[in-house]
Amino acid sequence: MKTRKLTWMALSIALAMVMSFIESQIPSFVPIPGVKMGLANIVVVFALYRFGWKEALGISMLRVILVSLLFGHLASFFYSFAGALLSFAGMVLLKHSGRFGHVAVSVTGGVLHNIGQIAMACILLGTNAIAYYLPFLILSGTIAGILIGLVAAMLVKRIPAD
Amino acid sequence: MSTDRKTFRLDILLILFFLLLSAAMFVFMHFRQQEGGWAVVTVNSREVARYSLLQDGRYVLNNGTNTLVIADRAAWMEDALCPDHICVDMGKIRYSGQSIVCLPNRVVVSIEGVSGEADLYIG
Repeated sequence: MKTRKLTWMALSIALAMVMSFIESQIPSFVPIPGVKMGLANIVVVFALYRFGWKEALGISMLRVILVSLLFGHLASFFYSFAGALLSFAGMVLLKHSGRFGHVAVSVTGGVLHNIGQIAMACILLGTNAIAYYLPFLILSGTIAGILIGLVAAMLVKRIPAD
Repeated sequence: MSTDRKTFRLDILLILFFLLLSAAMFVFMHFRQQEGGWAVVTVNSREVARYSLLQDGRYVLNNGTNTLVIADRAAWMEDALCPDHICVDMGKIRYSGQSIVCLPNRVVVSIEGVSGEADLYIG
């Protein structure tokens, strides 16, 4: 039982890292800083439903740390960390309310990730540019969140629990 | 089944909420936009330069990591030494409140003030 869980966690983190890497290789088609597809969130949303919030939080945080160490720099770590944490808090709240489905949880996660990341950047860079980017970030987070949520819902349904 | 339908409806509502929120912000920004007076450059959260939008020019920022161009009352990033080039792709900004952020180089160019203020300053 314990080994099984450990394996699931390790695989999930590895998969989330691969998702981040793939995403980093795709040129961004919207020239707004902070706009992301959030492929790694597929894994986090899946873990949130399949394993629970502690496991999902662990996967999300370890992914941010490992990806920043491998492909990023210190600044990108702070941006992603703020985004991931805010996004996670929102997703857990929404899921635990029991009223929303995977897609709403993922959309909230997408929007909050974008906002958290750019808010941290604005704090570090001492600018209030966030006001100008906010509508773009909400829109892109919503669209990406819908797609990510649909994929995550499909995975939760199709991958059998042990 | 009924709970599925209920969460589905709430999901749609939440998505609509976010879409309307961003649409409202776009509309609000559109009606509030005013031609700006300055392109203010900050590097590492410190203001390093302030250029009038009325004066055309090409400026090298942050020891050469970014090149800013001002022409026709607009500012844009012509070149940047970073992998993503998001700041270059962002194109021109001219309205007060708009900004170009180059995260990797920690360079921010923001439009401030209102057109006309800059004339006074130079004059």
